[in-house]
Amino acid sequence: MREFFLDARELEHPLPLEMAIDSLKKLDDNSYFYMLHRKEPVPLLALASEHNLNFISKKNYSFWHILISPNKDITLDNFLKSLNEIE
Amino acid sequence: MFNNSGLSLDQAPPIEVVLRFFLVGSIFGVVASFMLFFWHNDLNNIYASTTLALIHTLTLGVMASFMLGALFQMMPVLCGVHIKAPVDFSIRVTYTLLVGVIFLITAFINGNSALYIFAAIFLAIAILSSAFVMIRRLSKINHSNSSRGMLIAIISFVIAVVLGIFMLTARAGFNIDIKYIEFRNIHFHFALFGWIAILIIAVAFQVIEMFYVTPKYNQKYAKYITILIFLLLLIYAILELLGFKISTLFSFFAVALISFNAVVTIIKIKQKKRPVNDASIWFWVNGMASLALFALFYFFNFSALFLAILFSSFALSIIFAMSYKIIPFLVWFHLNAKGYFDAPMMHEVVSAKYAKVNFWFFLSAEVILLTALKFKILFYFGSFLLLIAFCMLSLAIYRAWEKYNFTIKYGKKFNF
Repeated sequence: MREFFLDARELEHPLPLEMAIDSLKKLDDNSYFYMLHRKEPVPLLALASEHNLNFISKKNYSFWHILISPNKDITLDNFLKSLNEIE
Repeated sequence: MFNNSGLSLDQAPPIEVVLRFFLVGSIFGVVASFMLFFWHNDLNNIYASTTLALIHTLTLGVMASFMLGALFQMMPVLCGVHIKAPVDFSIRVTYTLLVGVIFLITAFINGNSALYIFAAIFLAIAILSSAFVMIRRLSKINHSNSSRGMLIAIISFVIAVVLGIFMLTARAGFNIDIKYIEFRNIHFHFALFGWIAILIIAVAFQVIEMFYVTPKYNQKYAKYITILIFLLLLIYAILELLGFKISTLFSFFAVALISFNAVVTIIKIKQKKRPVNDASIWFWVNGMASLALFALFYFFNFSALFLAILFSSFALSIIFAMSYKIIPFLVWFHLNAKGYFDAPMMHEVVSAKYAKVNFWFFLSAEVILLTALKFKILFYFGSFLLLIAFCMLSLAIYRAWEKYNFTIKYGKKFNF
Protein backbone atom coordinates (compact mmCIF):
# COMPACT_ATOMS: atom_id res chain seq x y z
CA MET A 1 0.00 0.00 0.00
CA ARG A 2 1.12 3.51 -0.67
CA GLU A 3 2.08 5.47 2.43
CA PHE A 4 1.70 9.21 3.00
CA PHE A 5 3.91 9.89 5.99
CA LEU A 6 4.06 13.03 8.12
CA ASP A 7 6.35 13.54 11.10
CA ALA A 8 4.62 16.45 12.82
CA ARG A 9 6.42 16.20 16.15
CA GLU A 10 8.30 19.45 15.66
CA LEU A 11 5.68 21.37 13.72
CA GLU A 12 3.60 24.18 15.23
CA HIS A 13 -0.18 24.23 15.19
CA PRO A 14 -1.94 24.30 12.74
CA LEU A 15 0.70 23.08 10.23
CA PRO A 16 0.24 19.37 11.09
CA LEU A 17 -3.50 19.59 10.48
CA GLU A 18 -3.05 21.61 7.30
CA MET A 19 -0.55 19.09 5.88
CA ALA A 20 -2.60 16.11 7.09
CA ILE A 21 -5.74 17.34 5.32
CA ASP A 22 -3.74 17.82 2.13
CA SER A 23 -2.62 14.19 2.38
CA LEU A 24 -6.13 12.89 3.18
CA LYS A 25 -7.38 14.43 -0.07
CA LYS A 26 -4.90 12.21 -1.99
CA LEU A 27 -5.89 8.91 -0.33
CA ASP A 28 -7.60 6.00 -2.09
CA ASP A 29 -8.32 2.38 -1.10
CA ASN A 30 -4.71 1.42 -1.78
CA SER A 31 -3.11 4.05 0.40
CA TYR A 32 -2.98 5.22 3.98
CA PHE A 33 -1.83 8.25 5.93
CA TYR A 34 0.56 7.76 8.81
CA MET A 35 1.42 10.62 11.17
CA LEU A 36 3.60 11.04 14.25
CA HIS A 37 2.56 13.83 16.59
CA ARG A 38 3.48 15.01 20.09
CA LYS A 39 -0.23 15.51 20.92
CA GLU A 40 -3.36 13.64 19.94
CA PRO A 41 -4.76 15.54 16.92
CA VAL A 42 -8.40 15.59 18.03
CA PRO A 43 -9.73 17.85 15.22
CA LEU A 44 -8.11 15.62 12.57
CA LEU A 45 -9.62 12.49 14.11
CA ALA A 46 -13.02 14.19 14.38
CA LEU A 47 -12.76 15.08 10.70
CA ALA A 48 -11.79 11.49 9.80
CA SER A 49 -14.72 10.21 11.84
CA GLU A 50 -17.13 12.65 10.20
CA HIS A 51 -16.00 11.52 6.74
CA ASN A 52 -16.33 7.86 7.68
CA LEU A 53 -12.63 7.10 7.21
CA ASN A 54 -10.93 4.16 8.89
CA PHE A 55 -8.61 5.58 11.57
CA ILE A 56 -6.65 4.76 14.69
CA SER A 57 -4.75 6.89 17.19
CA LYS A 58 -2.42 5.35 19.78
CA LYS A 59 0.30 6.56 22.07
CA ASN A 60 3.69 4.89 22.10
CA TYR A 61 6.18 6.33 24.61
CA SER A 62 5.78 10.07 24.27
CA PHE A 63 4.39 10.21 20.71
CA TRP A 64 1.03 9.68 19.12
CA HIS A 65 0.80 7.41 16.07
CA ILE A 66 -2.11 8.11 13.77
CA LEU A 67 -3.17 5.94 10.86
CA ILE A 68 -5.98 6.91 8.49
CA SER A 69 -7.23 5.14 5.38
CA PRO A 70 -10.44 5.08 3.34
CA ASN A 71 -9.99 1.28 3.12
CA LYS A 72 -12.31 -0.30 5.67
CA ASP A 73 -10.85 -3.79 5.19
CA ILE A 74 -7.52 -3.06 6.88
CA THR A 75 -7.28 -3.75 10.61
CA LEU A 76 -5.36 -0.63 11.49
CA ASP A 77 -4.37 -1.87 14.92
CA ASN A 78 -2.37 -4.77 13.43
CA PHE A 79 -1.20 -2.59 10.61
CA LEU A 80 0.20 -0.05 13.05
CA LYS A 81 2.11 -2.73 14.95
CA SER A 82 3.59 -4.02 11.72
CA LEU A 83 5.10 -0.69 10.75
CA ASN A 84 8.86 -0.88 11.21
CA GLU A 85 9.29 2.59 12.65
CA ILE A 86 7.36 1.84 15.79
CA GLU A 87 8.34 -1.72 16.59
CA MET B 1 3.40 -0.55 23.99
CA PHE B 2 0.51 1.41 22.57
CA ASN B 3 -2.06 3.24 24.68
CA ASN B 4 -5.53 3.97 23.40
CA SER B 5 -6.90 7.44 23.08
CA GLY B 6 -9.06 8.51 26.01
CA LEU B 7 -10.45 11.50 24.20
CA SER B 8 -13.95 11.97 22.97
CA LEU B 9 -14.33 12.72 19.29
CA ASP B 10 -17.49 14.68 19.85
CA GLN B 11 -17.50 17.54 17.44
CA ALA B 12 -16.30 20.94 18.52
CA PRO B 13 -19.26 23.37 18.51
CA PRO B 14 -20.35 25.01 15.24
CA ILE B 15 -18.21 28.01 14.38
CA GLU B 16 -20.97 30.57 14.98
CA VAL B 17 -20.96 29.70 18.69
CA VAL B 18 -17.45 31.06 19.06
CA LEU B 19 -17.70 33.90 16.53
CA ARG B 20 -20.86 35.33 18.13
CA PHE B 21 -19.20 35.53 21.56
CA PHE B 22 -16.05 37.05 20.03
CA LEU B 23 -17.95 39.62 17.97
CA VAL B 24 -20.00 40.76 20.97
CA GLY B 25 -16.81 40.95 23.04
CA SER B 26 -14.95 43.03 20.47
CA ILE B 27 -17.91 45.44 20.10
CA PHE B 28 -17.87 45.92 23.88
CA GLY B 29 -14.18 46.75 23.41
CA VAL B 30 -15.20 49.55 21.03
CA VAL B 31 -17.73 50.79 23.62
CA ALA B 32 -15.08 50.65 26.38
CA SER B 33 -12.69 52.72 24.23
CA PHE B 34 -15.36 55.42 23.84
CA MET B 35 -15.98 55.38 27.60
CA LEU B 36 -12.26 55.82 28.21
CA PHE B 37 -12.16 58.71 25.75
CA PHE B 38 -15.02 60.62 27.39
CA TRP B 39 -14.72 59.60 31.04
CA HIS B 40 -10.96 59.41 31.67
CA ASN B 41 -11.14 62.38 34.05
CA ASP B 42 -13.12 60.23 36.51
CA LEU B 43 -10.63 57.38 36.48
CA ASN B 44 -8.65 58.58 39.49
CA ASN B 45 -11.65 57.62 41.59
CA ILE B 46 -11.83 53.87 41.09
CA TYR B 47 -15.32 53.81 42.68
CA ALA B 48 -16.86 56.58 40.54
CA SER B 49 -19.98 55.37 38.72
CA THR B 50 -18.42 55.96 35.28
CA THR B 51 -15.23 54.12 36.30
CA LEU B 52 -17.26 51.15 37.54
CA ALA B 53 -19.19 51.15 34.26
CA LEU B 54 -15.91 51.12 32.30
CA ILE B 55 -14.33 48.39 34.46
CA HIS B 56 -17.35 46.11 34.04
CA THR B 57 -17.61 46.78 30.31
CA LEU B 58 -14.04 45.54 30.03
CA THR B 59 -14.23 42.61 32.45
CA LEU B 60 -17.72 41.31 31.66
CA GLY B 61 -18.46 42.75 28.23
CA VAL B 62 -15.08 42.08 26.65
CA MET B 63 -13.18 39.54 28.76
CA ALA B 64 -16.08 37.31 29.87
CA SER B 65 -17.52 37.23 26.32
CA PHE B 66 -14.23 36.16 24.78
CA MET B 67 -13.41 33.73 27.57
CA LEU B 68 -16.81 32.03 27.59
CA GLY B 69 -16.61 31.73 23.79
CA ALA B 70 -13.14 30.23 24.07
CA LEU B 71 -14.36 27.75 26.72
CA PHE B 72 -17.23 26.63 24.48
CA GLN B 73 -14.62 25.89 21.81
CA MET B 74 -11.82 24.48 23.95
CA MET B 75 -13.74 22.26 26.37
CA PRO B 76 -14.70 19.66 23.73
CA VAL B 77 -11.29 19.74 22.03
CA LEU B 78 -8.92 20.03 24.99
CA CYS B 79 -10.95 18.31 27.71
CA GLY B 80 -13.17 15.93 25.72
CA VAL B 81 -16.21 17.58 27.33
CA HIS B 82 -19.27 17.90 25.13
CA ILE B 83 -21.86 20.63 25.76
CA LYS B 84 -25.33 19.64 24.62
CA ALA B 85 -27.11 21.81 22.01
CA PRO B 86 -24.21 24.28 21.97
CA VAL B 87 -25.81 26.67 19.47
CA ASP B 88 -29.06 27.24 21.38
CA PHE B 89 -27.29 27.32 24.71
CA SER B 90 -24.59 29.74 23.57
CA ILE B 91 -27.16 32.05 21.96
CA ARG B 92 -29.05 32.22 25.27
CA VAL B 93 -25.83 32.88 27.20
CA THR B 94 -24.50 35.47 24.72
CA TYR B 95 -27.66 37.55 24.63
CA THR B 96 -28.48 37.39 28.35
CA LEU B 97 -24.86 38.39 29.06
CA LEU B 98 -25.16 41.23 26.52
CA VAL B 99 -28.41 42.51 28.06
CA GLY B 100 -27.04 42.02 31.60
CA VAL B 101 -23.92 44.09 30.86
CA ILE B 102 -26.02 46.86 29.27
CA PHE B 103 -28.27 46.94 32.36
CA LEU B 104 -25.20 46.98 34.60
CA ILE B 105 -23.56 49.89 32.74
CA THR B 106 -26.76 51.95 32.79
CA ALA B 107 -27.36 51.03 36.46
CA PHE B 108 -23.91 52.29 37.46
CA ILE B 109 -24.42 55.54 35.58
CA ASN B 110 -28.08 56.07 36.48
CA GLY B 111 -28.18 54.54 39.97
CA ASN B 112 -31.72 53.23 39.39
CA SER B 113 -32.65 50.35 41.73
CA ALA B 114 -34.65 48.44 39.11
CA LEU B 115 -31.71 48.53 36.70
CA TYR B 116 -29.41 47.00 39.34
CA ILE B 117 -31.90 44.19 39.90
CA PHE B 118 -32.34 43.55 36.16
CA ALA B 119 -28.54 43.51 35.76
CA ALA B 120 -28.20 41.03 38.63
CA ILE B 121 -30.89 38.74 37.17
CA PHE B 122 -29.56 38.71 33.60
CA LEU B 123 -25.91 38.32 34.62
CA ALA B 124 -26.80 35.53 37.05
CA ILE B 125 -28.73 33.67 34.35
CA ALA B 126 -25.98 34.10 31.74
CA ILE B 127 -22.92 33.38 33.83
CA LEU B 128 -24.17 31.01 36.51
CA SER B 129 -26.11 28.84 34.06
CA SER B 130 -23.10 28.41 31.76
CA ALA B 131 -20.73 27.97 34.72
CA PHE B 132 -23.05 25.33 36.21
CA VAL B 133 -23.06 23.31 32.98
CA MET B 134 -19.29 23.62 32.55
CA ILE B 135 -18.49 22.74 36.18
CA ARG B 136 -20.80 19.73 36.06
CA ARG B 137 -19.18 18.42 32.87
CA LEU B 138 -15.63 19.17 33.99
CA SER B 139 -16.16 17.46 37.35
CA LYS B 140 -16.66 14.11 35.64
CA ILE B 141 -13.41 13.86 33.67
CA ASN B 142 -9.86 12.72 34.32
CA HIS B 143 -8.09 16.03 34.53
CA SER B 144 -5.18 17.34 32.55
CA ASN B 145 -3.39 20.35 34.03
CA SER B 146 -5.34 22.59 31.64
CA SER B 147 -8.79 21.20 32.38
CA ARG B 148 -8.14 21.38 36.13
CA GLY B 149 -7.13 25.02 35.78
CA MET B 150 -10.22 25.75 33.71
CA LEU B 151 -12.44 24.20 36.39
CA ILE B 152 -10.76 26.28 39.11
CA ALA B 153 -11.09 29.43 37.00
CA ILE B 154 -14.81 28.83 36.46
CA ILE B 155 -15.36 28.21 40.20
CA SER B 156 -13.54 31.52 40.88
CA PHE B 157 -15.82 33.22 38.37
CA VAL B 158 -18.87 31.87 40.20
CA ILE B 159 -17.54 33.20 43.53
CA ALA B 160 -16.89 36.64 41.95
CA VAL B 161 -20.32 36.74 40.33
CA VAL B 162 -22.23 35.63 43.44
CA LEU B 163 -20.50 38.33 45.49
CA GLY B 164 -21.22 40.81 42.70
CA ILE B 165 -24.90 39.90 42.78
CA PHE B 166 -25.02 40.50 46.56
CA MET B 167 -23.43 43.92 46.03
CA LEU B 168 -25.84 44.81 43.22
CA THR B 169 -28.74 43.87 45.48
CA ALA B 170 -27.32 46.10 48.21
CA ARG B 171 -26.83 48.96 45.71
CA ALA B 172 -30.43 48.50 44.61
CA GLY B 173 -31.45 49.50 48.12
CA PHE B 174 -32.33 46.11 49.60
CA ASN B 175 -31.47 45.98 53.25
CA ILE B 176 -29.21 42.92 53.25
CA ASP B 177 -26.52 42.46 55.83
CA ILE B 178 -23.23 42.17 53.93
CA LYS B 179 -19.72 43.42 54.57
CA TYR B 180 -19.72 45.55 51.44
CA ILE B 181 -16.04 46.62 51.41
CA GLU B 182 -14.77 43.11 52.14
CA PHE B 183 -17.15 41.61 49.54
CA ARG B 184 -15.89 44.11 46.98
CA ASN B 185 -12.24 43.24 47.67
CA ILE B 186 -12.87 39.50 47.50
CA HIS B 187 -15.04 40.02 44.38
CA PHE B 188 -12.27 41.66 42.40
CA HIS B 189 -9.58 39.27 43.68
CA PHE B 190 -11.52 36.23 42.46
CA ALA B 191 -12.53 37.96 39.21
CA LEU B 192 -9.05 39.15 38.25
CA PHE B 193 -6.68 36.63 39.82
CA GLY B 194 -9.02 33.64 40.04
CA TRP B 195 -11.12 33.78 36.88
CA ILE B 196 -9.02 35.73 34.37
CA ALA B 197 -5.45 34.91 35.45
CA ILE B 198 -6.00 31.22 36.29
CA LEU B 199 -7.94 30.65 33.06
CA ILE B 200 -5.13 32.18 31.00
CA ILE B 201 -2.52 30.14 32.90
CA ALA B 202 -4.53 26.94 32.28
CA VAL B 203 -4.96 27.68 28.59
CA ALA B 204 -1.26 28.56 28.27
CA PHE B 205 -0.30 25.07 29.48
CA GLN B 206 -1.92 23.67 26.33
CA VAL B 207 -1.53 26.30 23.67
CA ILE B 208 1.99 27.68 24.22
CA GLU B 209 3.57 24.33 23.53
CA MET B 210 1.11 23.53 20.73
CA PHE B 211 1.27 26.89 18.90
CA TYR B 212 4.95 27.67 19.28
CA VAL B 213 6.62 24.24 19.83
CA THR B 214 8.19 25.22 23.13
CA PRO B 215 9.55 22.91 25.84
CA LYS B 216 6.76 21.55 28.06
CA TYR B 217 5.93 23.16 31.39
CA ASN B 218 7.08 21.04 34.32
CA GLN B 219 4.09 18.75 34.95
CA LYS B 220 4.15 19.00 38.75
CA TYR B 221 4.44 22.76 38.56
CA ALA B 222 1.55 22.90 36.08
CA LYS B 223 -0.53 20.61 38.29
CA TYR B 224 -0.16 22.60 41.48
CA ILE B 225 0.22 26.26 40.57
CA THR B 226 -3.46 26.87 39.78
CA ILE B 227 -4.55 24.98 42.92
CA LEU B 228 -2.10 27.00 45.00
CA ILE B 229 -3.25 30.36 43.62
CA PHE B 230 -6.86 29.37 44.31
CA LEU B 231 -6.05 28.27 47.89
CA LEU B 232 -4.20 31.54 48.53
CA LEU B 233 -7.24 33.45 47.27
CA LEU B 234 -9.52 31.40 49.55
CA ILE B 235 -7.31 32.08 52.58
CA TYR B 236 -7.22 35.75 51.59
CA ALA B 237 -11.05 35.81 51.41
CA ILE B 238 -11.53 34.15 54.81
CA LEU B 239 -9.03 36.46 56.55
CA GLU B 240 -10.53 39.49 54.80
CA LEU B 241 -14.04 38.55 56.00
CA LEU B 242 -12.70 38.03 59.54
CA GLY B 243 -11.07 41.45 59.41
CA PHE B 244 -7.42 40.34 59.64
CA LYS B 245 -5.11 42.80 57.92
CA ILE B 246 -2.67 39.97 57.20
CA SER B 247 -5.04 38.97 54.35
CA THR B 248 -3.06 41.33 52.08
CA LEU B 249 -0.05 39.06 52.46
CA PHE B 250 -1.95 36.17 50.83
CA SER B 251 -3.08 38.44 48.04
CA PHE B 252 0.61 39.29 47.45
CA PHE B 253 1.54 35.59 47.40
CA ALA B 254 -1.17 34.86 44.82
CA VAL B 255 -0.01 37.75 42.61
CA ALA B 256 3.62 36.63 43.04
CA LEU B 257 2.75 33.16 41.73
CA ILE B 258 0.77 34.59 38.81
CA SER B 259 3.67 36.85 37.84
CA PHE B 260 6.17 33.99 38.28
CA ASN B 261 4.12 32.02 35.77
CA ALA B 262 4.22 35.00 33.40
CA VAL B 263 8.03 34.99 33.54
CA VAL B 264 8.13 31.19 33.04
CA THR B 265 5.85 31.56 29.99
CA ILE B 266 8.05 34.26 28.46
CA ILE B 267 11.10 32.00 28.96
CA LYS B 268 9.24 29.07 27.32
CA ILE B 269 8.34 31.26 24.34
CA LYS B 270 11.96 32.39 24.03
CA GLN B 271 12.97 28.69 23.91
CA LYS B 272 10.63 27.90 21.00
CA LYS B 273 12.01 25.36 18.53
CA ARG B 274 10.38 26.79 15.40
CA PRO B 275 10.92 30.25 13.91
CA VAL B 276 7.33 31.34 14.56
CA ASN B 277 7.09 35.11 14.42
CA ASP B 278 3.45 36.10 14.05
CA ALA B 279 1.32 38.71 15.80
CA SER B 280 -0.13 36.15 18.20
CA ILE B 281 3.29 35.45 19.71
CA TRP B 282 3.91 39.20 20.08
CA PHE B 283 0.57 39.57 21.85
CA TRP B 284 1.42 36.65 24.18
CA VAL B 285 4.80 38.13 25.12
CA ASN B 286 3.29 41.59 25.60
CA GLY B 287 0.48 40.14 27.75
CA MET B 288 2.87 38.22 29.98
CA ALA B 289 5.28 41.17 30.25
CA SER B 290 2.37 43.45 31.24
CA LEU B 291 1.34 40.94 33.90
CA ALA B 292 4.88 40.71 35.30
CA LEU B 293 5.04 44.52 35.44
CA PHE B 294 1.60 44.61 37.07
CA ALA B 295 2.88 42.35 39.86
CA LEU B 296 6.01 44.42 40.32
CA PHE B 297 4.07 47.65 40.71
CA TYR B 298 1.37 45.92 42.80
CA PHE B 299 4.01 45.10 45.42
CA PHE B 300 5.10 48.74 45.45
CA ASN B 301 1.49 49.84 45.87
CA PHE B 302 1.32 51.99 42.73
CA SER B 303 -1.89 53.85 41.80
CA ALA B 304 -4.94 51.69 41.12
CA LEU B 305 -5.31 53.25 37.67
CA PHE B 306 -1.75 52.39 36.65
CA LEU B 307 -2.25 48.80 37.86
CA ALA B 308 -5.65 48.58 36.10
CA ILE B 309 -4.10 49.61 32.77
CA LEU B 310 -1.34 46.98 33.13
CA PHE B 311 -3.71 44.19 34.16
CA SER B 312 -6.19 45.06 31.38
CA SER B 313 -3.31 45.09 28.88
CA PHE B 314 -2.33 41.61 30.04
CA ALA B 315 -5.83 40.13 29.68
CA LEU B 316 -6.68 41.97 26.44
CA SER B 317 -3.34 41.13 24.86
CA ILE B 318 -3.96 37.41 25.42
CA ILE B 319 -7.49 37.82 24.02
CA PHE B 320 -6.09 39.42 20.86
CA ALA B 321 -3.41 36.70 20.65
CA MET B 322 -5.93 33.89 20.88
CA SER B 323 -8.39 35.56 18.50
CA TYR B 324 -5.82 35.98 15.74
CA LYS B 325 -4.75 32.36 16.17
CA ILE B 326 -8.18 30.76 16.60
CA ILE B 327 -10.43 32.64 14.16
CA PRO B 328 -8.56 31.94 10.87
CA PHE B 329 -8.00 28.36 12.00
CA LEU B 330 -11.66 27.75 12.82
CA VAL B 331 -12.92 29.18 9.52
CA TRP B 332 -10.41 27.13 7.54
CA PHE B 333 -10.92 23.95 9.58
CA HIS B 334 -14.74 23.99 9.64
CA LEU B 335 -14.89 24.57 5.88
CA ASN B 336 -12.39 21.77 5.23
CA ALA B 337 -14.23 19.46 7.59
CA LYS B 338 -17.40 20.14 5.61
CA GLY B 339 -15.48 19.30 2.44
CA TYR B 340 -15.24 22.68 0.67
CA PHE B 341 -12.58 22.73 -2.06
CA ASP B 342 -12.36 26.50 -2.23
CA ALA B 343 -12.17 27.19 1.51
CA PRO B 344 -9.97 30.24 2.05
CA MET B 345 -6.51 29.52 3.45
CA MET B 346 -5.85 30.78 6.96
CA HIS B 347 -3.83 33.79 5.79
CA GLU B 348 -6.74 34.70 3.48
CA VAL B 349 -9.17 34.77 6.42
CA VAL B 350 -7.03 37.26 8.36
CA SER B 351 -3.71 38.29 6.90
CA ALA B 352 -0.57 38.13 9.05
CA LYS B 353 0.16 41.76 8.18
CA TYR B 354 -3.30 42.91 9.36
CA ALA B 355 -2.79 41.17 12.74
CA LYS B 356 0.66 42.75 13.09
CA VAL B 357 -0.71 46.24 12.37
CA ASN B 358 -3.39 45.55 15.01
CA PHE B 359 -0.65 44.61 17.48
CA TRP B 360 1.17 47.93 16.98
CA PHE B 361 -2.06 49.89 17.54
CA PHE B 362 -2.71 47.89 20.71
CA LEU B 363 0.82 48.27 22.06
CA SER B 364 0.86 52.02 21.27
CA ALA B 365 -2.47 52.41 23.09
CA GLU B 366 -1.06 50.60 26.15
CA VAL B 367 2.15 52.65 26.28
CA ILE B 368 0.36 55.96 25.70
CA LEU B 369 -2.34 55.21 28.30
CA LEU B 370 0.38 54.43 30.87
CA THR B 371 2.13 57.68 29.97
CA ALA B 372 -1.19 59.52 30.18
CA LEU B 373 -1.13 59.13 33.96
CA LYS B 374 1.56 61.84 33.86
CA PHE B 375 0.22 63.84 30.90
CA LYS B 376 -3.59 63.68 31.06
CA ILE B 377 -4.12 64.99 27.54
CA LEU B 378 -2.65 61.73 26.18
CA PHE B 379 -5.74 59.83 27.37
CA TYR B 380 -7.56 61.13 24.27
CA PHE B 381 -4.85 59.76 21.99
CA GLY B 382 -4.45 56.48 23.89
CA SER B 383 -8.19 55.72 23.94
CA PHE B 384 -8.42 56.60 20.23
CA LEU B 385 -5.64 54.06 19.47
CA LEU B 386 -7.44 51.48 21.60
CA LEU B 387 -10.62 52.22 19.66
CA ILE B 388 -8.79 51.52 16.38
CA ALA B 389 -7.35 48.28 17.84
CA PHE B 390 -10.82 47.03 18.82
CA CYS B 391 -12.41 48.20 15.54
CA MET B 392 -9.75 46.21 13.66
CA LEU B 393 -10.46 43.12 15.77
CA SER B 394 -14.26 43.48 15.30
CA LEU B 395 -13.77 43.86 11.55
CA ALA B 396 -11.47 40.82 11.40
CA ILE B 397 -14.07 38.67 13.19
CA TYR B 398 -16.94 40.01 11.06
CA ARG B 399 -15.04 39.46 7.79
CA ALA B 400 -14.00 35.95 8.83
CA TRP B 401 -17.63 35.08 9.53
CA GLU B 402 -18.67 36.60 6.22
CA LYS B 403 -16.04 34.57 4.30
CA TYR B 404 -17.21 31.42 6.07
CA ASN B 405 -20.86 32.07 5.15
CA PHE B 406 -19.90 32.94 1.56
CA THR B 407 -18.04 29.64 1.10
CA ILE B 408 -20.91 27.68 2.66
CA LYS B 409 -23.30 29.34 0.19
CA TYR B 410 -21.24 29.30 -3.01
CA GLY B 411 -18.31 26.90 -2.38
CA LYS B 412 -17.67 23.61 -4.21
CA LYS B 413 -17.43 20.39 -2.24
CA PHE B 414 -15.01 17.46 -2.43
CA ASN B 415 -15.03 14.00 -0.88
CA PHE B 416 -12.15 12.34 0.91
